Amino acid sequence: MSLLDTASLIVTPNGYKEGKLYSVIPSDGSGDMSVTRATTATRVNSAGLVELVPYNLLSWSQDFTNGWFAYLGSITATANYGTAPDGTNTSTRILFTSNNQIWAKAISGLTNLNGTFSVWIKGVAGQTIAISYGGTDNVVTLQSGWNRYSVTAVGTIDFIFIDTFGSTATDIEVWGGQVVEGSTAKDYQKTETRLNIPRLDYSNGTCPSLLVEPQRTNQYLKSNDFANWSNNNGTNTITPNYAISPDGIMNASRWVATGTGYRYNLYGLFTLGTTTVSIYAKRNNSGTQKFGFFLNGSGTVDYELNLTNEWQRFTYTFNLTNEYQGLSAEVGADVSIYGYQLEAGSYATSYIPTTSASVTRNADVISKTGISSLIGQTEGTLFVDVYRPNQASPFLFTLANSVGSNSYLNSIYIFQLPNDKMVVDCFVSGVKQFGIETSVGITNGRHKIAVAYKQNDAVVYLDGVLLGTDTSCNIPPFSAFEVNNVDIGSTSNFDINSVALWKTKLDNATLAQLTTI
Amino acid sequence: MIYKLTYENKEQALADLKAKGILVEVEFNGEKHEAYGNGVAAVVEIGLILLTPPVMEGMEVIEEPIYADGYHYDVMSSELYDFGANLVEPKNPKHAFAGHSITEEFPYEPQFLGDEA
Repeated sequence: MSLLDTASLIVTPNGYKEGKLYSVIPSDGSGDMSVTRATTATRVNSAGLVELVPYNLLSWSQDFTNGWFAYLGSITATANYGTAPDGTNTSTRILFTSNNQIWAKAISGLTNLNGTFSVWIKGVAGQTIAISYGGTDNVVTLQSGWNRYSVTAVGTIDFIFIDTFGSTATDIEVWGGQVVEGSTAKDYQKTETRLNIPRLDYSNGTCPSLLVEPQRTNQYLKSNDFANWSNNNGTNTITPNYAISPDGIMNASRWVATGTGYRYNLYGLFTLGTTTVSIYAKRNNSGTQKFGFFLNGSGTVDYELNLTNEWQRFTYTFNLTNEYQGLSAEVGADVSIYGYQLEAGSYATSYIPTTSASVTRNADVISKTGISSLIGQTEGTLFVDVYRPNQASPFLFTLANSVGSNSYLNSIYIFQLPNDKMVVDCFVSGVKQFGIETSVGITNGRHKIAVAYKQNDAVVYLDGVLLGTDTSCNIPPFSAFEVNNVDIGSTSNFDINSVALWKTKLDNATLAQLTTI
Repeated sequence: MIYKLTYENKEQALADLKAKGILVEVEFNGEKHEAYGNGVAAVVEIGLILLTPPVMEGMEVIEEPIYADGYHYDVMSSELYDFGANLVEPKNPKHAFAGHSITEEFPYEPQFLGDEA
């Protein structure tokens, strides 16, 4: 039996659905983590592309009664009406009472008017029905059985329709709606609220890690609409949709500097202080390319981007003192750009697209309560394999008997201090039992940490090395595990490769082996 | 629930958010931290909202911008609060939460509906 077979809980970035990250052990669902963010977000997918999570912009994609409404007469829609293409009883019947009626739903989150609406439809073969994206209809002829149909358009309104304009069908079943940016329908992705999906991120390689970030706001409006930024001094031309961007769509812009100058957007709201700007960019030719961020109203390149022929994300942290910052270049620069972001904080986080308003992505919180049977009570081991992307991006893992602001009162937690040191603390009824910490700040990159505990016998290993021990401690009861914790003001930012628990205190040789990078 | 709030200044805003338990002070790792209260998913400091852009000559400000009165916050929470006159319903919101319609907290008419609706 391997060491992993003896674990009581193993969580890796593997299976997931909305609001849930499945545990590998146990496999009966009792160890599945709850994931809360209450917003959408972006990640880097397995193809290396920046991707909205979820990319399907349609909420409740298998319930065409949720948020849909009739226009121009009475329409009856019945959810869970019949057998859907996936064999479940989740199709929706839509019964129109006449031609020239619309069954409609608003779509939010569009950052690119070029989009595609796809849906499975079943009806009488040979009849026609219209599907519409952004105000553009596509009248399709129904084939026998379930078939997926789509419409791609440059939208003018934020709505999709299933309608009977210019068509003959009035009684259809539908299933699996999807709206995506761009002209490719993409594989169908089921959605409900769209808001609490774990992010399996491939930024660090070919294996995914679970991305955990703090709340951040992209304050800059029109983050990928450079042509419509409010101010420039006439020294540059912008060509929208010039190149394939880091999100895989033809939506990167070209900046050609015909003179030396700048372009910026008045973003409408701002808070002063430590701020990080970021952008994806690459050069379009091999000529002189002086291009970068201008800050605090300078209008000249204050931070030059080291451009190559490949897309890179550039970031710069500075003290924001006014609302005038943007991009600047010297004559001759010819650059492709995508995804400008300005966020309060000392490092950049994942891209948050904006259009007419600033946008906030909430913090990722992952937790599980009621699992006392999976956590060693009198003795046990907690192991985490974590990737720290940059300085000042702390991580926090807590074993406790509750979640929330007071969870630390009875807990063992692994925490990165503001000075970059890592500490493992244990509290019982608010009384500190032990505190084992590194003498210096830990580095960026991957770390493996294990804390093994029982009464009067605690030990911590970091990256294969014994960090410290304590021989005079009590252990609190445990029933919960939590990653990040906004209730204690946590601003965690890291990637999780795996988390594991054992209900025994592993020996030192095993801990050393387990935590060796 | 998403609450859009306006106060006379930042100090007044913070005092009200703390009084309502939206922002709380907690002790963790031997230090006091400002944190979110029960049910609070996000507190976003909007700050100043630009109404009229400045008149610029190059990077020189010829006429100062005009900002909306007050200091602004957005709160997302599962709890119910009575913000009184501090709760506003902006016609043209300047901030949204990712994945949420910018107008989802307010009744509105879909833009494609004309007089026939």
